[in-house]
Amino acid sequence: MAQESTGSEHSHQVRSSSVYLFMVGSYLQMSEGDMAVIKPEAMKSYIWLQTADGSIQQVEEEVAMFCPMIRQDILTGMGSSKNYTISLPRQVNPAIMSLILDYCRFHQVPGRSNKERKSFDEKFIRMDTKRLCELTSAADSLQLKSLVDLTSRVLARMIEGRTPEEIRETFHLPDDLTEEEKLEPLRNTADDPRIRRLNQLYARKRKELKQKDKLKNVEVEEDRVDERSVDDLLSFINGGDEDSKGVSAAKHKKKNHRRKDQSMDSSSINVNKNHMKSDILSSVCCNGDVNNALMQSLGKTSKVQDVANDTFAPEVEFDDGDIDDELDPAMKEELDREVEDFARILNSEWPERMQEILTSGQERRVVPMSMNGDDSLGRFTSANQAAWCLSVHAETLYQMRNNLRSAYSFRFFEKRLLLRTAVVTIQNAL
Amino acid sequence: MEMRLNPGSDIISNLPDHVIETILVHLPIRDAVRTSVLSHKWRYKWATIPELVFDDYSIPPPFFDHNTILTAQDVIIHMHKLVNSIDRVLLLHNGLVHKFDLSTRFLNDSFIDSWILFLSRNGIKELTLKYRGEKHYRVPYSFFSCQAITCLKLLCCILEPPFVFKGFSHLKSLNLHSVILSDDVFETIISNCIALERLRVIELYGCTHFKIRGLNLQHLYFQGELTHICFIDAPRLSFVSIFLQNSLLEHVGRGDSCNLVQVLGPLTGLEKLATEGFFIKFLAIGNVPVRLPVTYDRLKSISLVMNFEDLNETLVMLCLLQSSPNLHELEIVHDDADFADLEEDFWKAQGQLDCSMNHLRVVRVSDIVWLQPELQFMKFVLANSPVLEILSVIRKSDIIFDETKMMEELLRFERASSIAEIVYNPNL
Repeated sequence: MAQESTGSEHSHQVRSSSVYLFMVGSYLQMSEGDMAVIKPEAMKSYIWLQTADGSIQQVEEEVAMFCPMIRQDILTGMGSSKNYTISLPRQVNPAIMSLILDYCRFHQVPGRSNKERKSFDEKFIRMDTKRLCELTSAADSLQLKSLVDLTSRVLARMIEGRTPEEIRETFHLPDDLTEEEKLEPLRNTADDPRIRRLNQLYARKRKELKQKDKLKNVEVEEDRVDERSVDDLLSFINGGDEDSKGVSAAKHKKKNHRRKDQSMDSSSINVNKNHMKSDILSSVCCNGDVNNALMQSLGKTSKVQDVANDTFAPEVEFDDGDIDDELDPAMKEELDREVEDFARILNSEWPERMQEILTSGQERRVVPMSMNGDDSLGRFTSANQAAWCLSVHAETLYQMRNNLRSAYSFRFFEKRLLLRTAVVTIQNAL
Repeated sequence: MEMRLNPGSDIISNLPDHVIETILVHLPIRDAVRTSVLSHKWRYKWATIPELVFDDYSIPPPFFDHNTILTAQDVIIHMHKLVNSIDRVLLLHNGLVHKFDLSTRFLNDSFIDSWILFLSRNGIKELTLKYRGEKHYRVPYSFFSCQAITCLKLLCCILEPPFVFKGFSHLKSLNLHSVILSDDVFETIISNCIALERLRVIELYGCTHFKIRGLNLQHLYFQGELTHICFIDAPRLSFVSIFLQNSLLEHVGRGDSCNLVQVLGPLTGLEKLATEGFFIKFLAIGNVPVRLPVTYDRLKSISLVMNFEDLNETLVMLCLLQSSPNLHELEIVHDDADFADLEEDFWKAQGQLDCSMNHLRVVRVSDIVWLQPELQFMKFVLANSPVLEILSVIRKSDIIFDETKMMEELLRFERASSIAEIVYNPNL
């Protein structure tokens, strides 16, 4: 052991030119120092290295000394023989080890120019990406800073200017971020004008969606209202408390009320209108005795209801086909006229009204025409009361129409009230 | 959200953090920040990089280089983009920032102030601020509390430190370009930055008297105007290069002695001296001695820009040559000024001097117009340099007369060195 270490000291003194003389194996008498016949293998000193997988490798000492980590170990005496190898970190496998040794072997020679070193480096780093990363890791574990720097630059070149997809492809990175995560928190970096534009569009879209939602709610309610059958309408008129229930239960009636749908779904009503409607109607309905009277009367006359159903089915259909969203002036005039008519009708005497109804409807197969005739005073009074209520509310309706400016809602009200009127008429007839 | 390959085949994300930082540091800041969308592991890897370098290309295109003429709106847009980028990056950054580099023509004072405050709290060591705009940027007080700073580069700034400023105790390298500061401030900075090794000063405004003091100062480059310069206590100063740009010069020497003695006299550790512009004229004011009272034993390289026809300048050059026994390399560039007071027989007289430049190996004479003093000087050099290897002659590019006679004469000069080569470069 001691001999060998002396031998290595001498090998340092004797420069490389002398060493190579001995490579041939010939013995030469050296005049320097006290060097007697020395075996060739000892002249050039070797260090024993062991990689993590157990394989042992011999390396020239000056090459190994280029690695700071190995150098430390050599200076403490390790690696001098097969039994005292220097263990390399696990990141260094034999293939990578040979690459690193090539690098060290070239660069440890002091006389090379910068140009030479650079051109060697350029050729050296030509390898596939996986190997490059392994090399980086190994060089870092051996504290070989210059090689880490070199490989880092190469890896940086592979990242610079590429799209994320390309980079992921190169390094087999998983694409495991959600779309939102990708955008934040760098979203507002004036990084990408496209992202900013996207955000603007998103914001706008969100706004539109919100508005649409609002409309949808209204429309849904409206549709719901639309899709009610005549039964529902009647119950709606007559049972003020059940308003909301009636409204919500009616969705499935779509098929039967095609024509209604066509006309009605183009208008835009908001929730408030509906509320107002139901409020007013419920107030109408809940006007005490009238309501009760009506209900009771209706309750008895289920048959009449059926008849009323048949009777009024056609009645329900107004020529709504020409109603559209915006009120054009012609429509407005028409509506105005209608309201006035309506008010007049309601405010007129009941008997006259009955006459009108009786004479106006060809479509009416009002069987209970026969029922017209004698009005008992009591009924007339209650009917009058009803009419009074209705007339009062006609004005409210008028105001509401002006506020709401919606053809549909007015029409609906009109329908409702006419229905109501008809109901009352029937009641009177009974 | 597809996991393309199993995590085992990800070949790069598992490298140690400092290695990833090394990789990211080699990327422009935009690319480095964009790695945050690569994958979950890469989300914040960029946020710990210790170096942040911003310039006018750190924002998305279109780019404006420093030559483009921009409308006012372009300027505002670009500035906002840049300011937003830097703000964002600094806010999202996590950890110490050792190096911060900003080089742009679009700056917003209040923002930079806040960035400097941020940096002063995050251990800034190398700071570069290059403002390429029209105004000068006044650095905020928080700048002067960056105590860890080791390397400072400023372009187009105004330095007005608070009274309590005691210098940067770790500052090693200082580079000031077009900076406005007063004499006192300069002196305070220089003398209080005791670790200062490199000083590079180009065109300072407001400062004309330079008192250079630095126990550790090794390298000085000065370009600009000065009226007075002196070196106090700079024993390790080995590289001095001064490019004097003002022609109104004063005599700063004591009594009759020339400026050369006064200014360069104390610099006994000089290894390389370079003068440009009017500096040699400045040095020549006063009574130029034949030889300096001190010898520059370590002076190995001299580079002068001088007028061969000016007597005083030639005397200074000779004085330096005499005082530098170990000179290896000499370079002289002829400055063709309209001033000639060199007598015809000056160099003949010099021939008698015992001036042996025993170590002079390389001599380069540039921009010559084949004047007699030039030829005589080259004759002098060839005769007095026993180990001369190369005399490189580069003529001025716009010569139209026939030079063959002069060249023949040059080739016939006696050479003290057997290996001397004369290399002629026509500089076409």
